[in-house]
Amino acid sequence: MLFRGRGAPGRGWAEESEAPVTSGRDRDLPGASPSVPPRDGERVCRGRPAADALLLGGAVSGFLALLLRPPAGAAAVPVLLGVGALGLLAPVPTIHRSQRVPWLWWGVVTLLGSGAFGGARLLHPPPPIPVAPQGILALILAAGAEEVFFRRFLYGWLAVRGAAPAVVGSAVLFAAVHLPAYGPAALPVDLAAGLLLGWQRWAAGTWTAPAATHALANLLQLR
Amino acid sequence: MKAGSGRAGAALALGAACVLAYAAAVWISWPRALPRLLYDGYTPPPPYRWVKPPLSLLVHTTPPQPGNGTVPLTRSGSAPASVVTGDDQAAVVFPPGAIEPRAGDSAVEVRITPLDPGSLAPPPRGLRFDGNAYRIDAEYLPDRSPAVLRAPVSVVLRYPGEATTLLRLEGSRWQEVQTTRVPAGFQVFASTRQLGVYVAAGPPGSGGHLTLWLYRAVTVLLWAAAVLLAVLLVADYVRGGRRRRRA
Repeated sequence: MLFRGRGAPGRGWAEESEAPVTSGRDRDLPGASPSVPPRDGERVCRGRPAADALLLGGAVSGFLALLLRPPAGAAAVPVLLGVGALGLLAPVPTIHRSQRVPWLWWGVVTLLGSGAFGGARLLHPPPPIPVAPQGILALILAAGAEEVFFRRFLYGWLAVRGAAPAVVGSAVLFAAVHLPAYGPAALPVDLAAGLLLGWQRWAAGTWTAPAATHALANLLQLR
Repeated sequence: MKAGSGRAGAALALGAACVLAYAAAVWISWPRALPRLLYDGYTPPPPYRWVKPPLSLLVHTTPPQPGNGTVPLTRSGSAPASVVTGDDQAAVVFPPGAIEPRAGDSAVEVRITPLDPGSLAPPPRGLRFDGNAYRIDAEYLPDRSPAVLRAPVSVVLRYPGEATTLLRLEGSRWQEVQTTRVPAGFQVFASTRQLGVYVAAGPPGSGGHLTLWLYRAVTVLLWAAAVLLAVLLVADYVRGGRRRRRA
């Protein structure tokens, strides 16, 4: 099967479930069940060079597309859709197998991240972003597409090296793609936000927790 | 169970550290940058509202809206606040303590009024106006005397085209002020201790052909990667199904 082959022992690629799951590298996480054998049908790949090259090419082109996307406007939508498709379709590398995390824990993690953005807004209401009615949908789309790319695809890819490089690496890349549009002044906030979203990905075991938080943060910037 | 609780506690502690790091980043950045919860969101803005639309804009445009707000005063100065026009085209962001407190006054009223920049003074050489001018007034209440700033405030204007700078009206001339551009929101902002009349401006014409070409090339590559991945996944699924049937 695709992405199945010989390679370095212990290196594997597994398709991520839509339910909150964690990789085996993250098995010390709260709520994670003890190790279980790979489920039937779970996709596993062991380092096939062609597959690796394809995924690296996808990661680079997705990153460049986000970096070079035009400023606010309908022209950014095809980029977001493409990045979202790439992030959703790409097999996610995991070293071991996935484990389920309770939904209550997912809620706690999402609430903590959302609370940070909500708290900042209460502390000092930022000026609203001028948004057309259809722009609200674009804000949600941007959050979903970016999270599926950074916290599913790239995080999963970087997680081969461990959770810390995955959280930090995805946060740095997330902050970097926003530099052309917002300038270096935005770097500290986006980097810290990226770390927070990466922590959510690690703690909840799924990209859906940071995606929900990211969408909420974008919507909180409206009047 | 105890081990599970310990792991949950450690994960929450890490999360709290991330929240604190985010709060620190906001604390450091917001006085210097246009405050945003997250510097993200590429959204189509609504049509620009002109006081006097350019001749090239033949369609009728909706008139711009003014802004009005009250900033409460405390003993240590003004509370943090943002005053925005009804159409979000102009805003003034007051960080904590930006306005000098005054005995007997409890608040400051801020008004933002859209104006036609061409009727005030011609643009500096090599620049053209990009959008409306906005007059920003702030008065103590109930005294009605002009408010005194003791820390910089951020003046934020949305532009419809390719603005690169903010201009401030000084007497009968426009003066450039140090400006930060936020292309993602079609906004320019400046940190200033002076209120008054501001307008966004930029050079005539626009460039960026190489960026546009690069953007198109990368978008094509991105879609090619996504389609190739989808085709491979479908082919892989079909092959797997055949293998299972044979088995």
